Amino acid sequence: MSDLGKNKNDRFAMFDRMSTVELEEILRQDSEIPSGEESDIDAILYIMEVIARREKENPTGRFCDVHTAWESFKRDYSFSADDGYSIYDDGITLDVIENKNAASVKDPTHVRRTRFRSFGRIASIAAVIVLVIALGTATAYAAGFDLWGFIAEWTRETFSFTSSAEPLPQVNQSSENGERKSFSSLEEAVSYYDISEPLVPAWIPKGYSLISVEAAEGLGNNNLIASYRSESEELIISIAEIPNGHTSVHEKDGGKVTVHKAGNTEHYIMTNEGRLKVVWTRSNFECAINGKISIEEAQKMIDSIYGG
Amino acid sequence: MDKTQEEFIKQLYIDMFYPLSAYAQSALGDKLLAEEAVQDTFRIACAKVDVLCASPNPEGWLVNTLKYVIQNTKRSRARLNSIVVTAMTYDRDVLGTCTDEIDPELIYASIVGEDNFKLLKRVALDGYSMKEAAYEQGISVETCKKRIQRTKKKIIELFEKNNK
Repeated sequence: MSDLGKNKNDRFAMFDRMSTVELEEILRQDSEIPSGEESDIDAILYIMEVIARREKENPTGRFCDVHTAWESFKRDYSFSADDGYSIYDDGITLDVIENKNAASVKDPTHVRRTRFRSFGRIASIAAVIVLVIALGTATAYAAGFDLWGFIAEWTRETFSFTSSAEPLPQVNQSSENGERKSFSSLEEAVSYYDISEPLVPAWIPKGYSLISVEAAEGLGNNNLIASYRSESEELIISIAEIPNGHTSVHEKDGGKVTVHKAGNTEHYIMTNEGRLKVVWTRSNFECAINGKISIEEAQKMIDSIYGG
Repeated sequence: MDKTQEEFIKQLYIDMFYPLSAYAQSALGDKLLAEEAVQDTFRIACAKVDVLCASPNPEGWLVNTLKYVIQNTKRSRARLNSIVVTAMTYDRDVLGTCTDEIDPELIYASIVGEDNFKLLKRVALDGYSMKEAAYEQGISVETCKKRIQRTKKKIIELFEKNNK
């Protein structure tokens, strides 16, 4: 092995000793580094290779098979990208990507300095992750919820949960064909679907009246949506079953995300376009409250779910 | 793309699919969305094969491209989710009905097409990848993408028209 290769292996040896979960957290945090800030590509590639090698040695089925994926690529994805857009076309064109990639090729001096700073950040993230995992896991299990069930993550523009847990059994689904049902209350709806988890606020802000409660029975999941209305505003409460861990990505603005804990569950409060949004997961449900209400009203709604 | 470039892309695909999948899976938390992000990255790589071939670090180029694809995916899916949730709180005065017994989906289905609205909901609310949603309706991924774009645009136009 050349000296250069040996130095790289020495520099990254600590990643070989980390668990896959820890390495994935580093990659996840790297994926959220804003445009314009660089990460240590060599370190990231090394981590990616470690995870990939472990998967090849002990397959868990977490990744699609490469040969199947290649056939799918030729069949399903090789339509022209000449229009300049990704499959998801909001804001990113090929030119933007090209400019970012071009900007990442620097002179050797700048590369060395940047990589030192970037690697320092990755090393710090790794150290913090190990500490949080060591402390957090025991505490989380003692508190009654699974830290590795759903992990909340957010950027300036989006909020979502990621799941590493095994899928939970689906609640009763009367129809397989995506039917819709109406109910007179959200309580009636959760009772109909035998949902035993506390998910429904018992308190609604003054001035709001219930307009409708609809259940959409999808193939593999059910969605409940309750709509309330005041003189000028709407309030929506949604309960989505997520047996396969398919959570939604929620749009948010640049305001901070606050956490309100109740019923051994963390509820994330954020804003988007002048409206308040509360999002949380419990068991295999993802719930949300969306409306022009105050933080105090949101917290009161949350507490009322658990009898507070 | 010439033959040499095709072979280059294919070999890069074979070598980098699992590492890129590891990155995408970590960021998106979903196997099929991760696969789609990697596929989208290579689709872009094919469109920019000259640049990729000339890059001193093709693997790094792919990682950077994947990162932007992932950020774009999250942002776009969040926007679609917002649009559909807002659409579900329909305004009777806006949509021109005076009855209490109304299904908002029927209203939007009549405006944008039942299949199109279902496609949008699958991706926006049910967490489907474009490929999953496309397969369910027996259409190509490219068609799925275009139909979702058109449906989104029509619904936004409806909101804007009624906010005036």
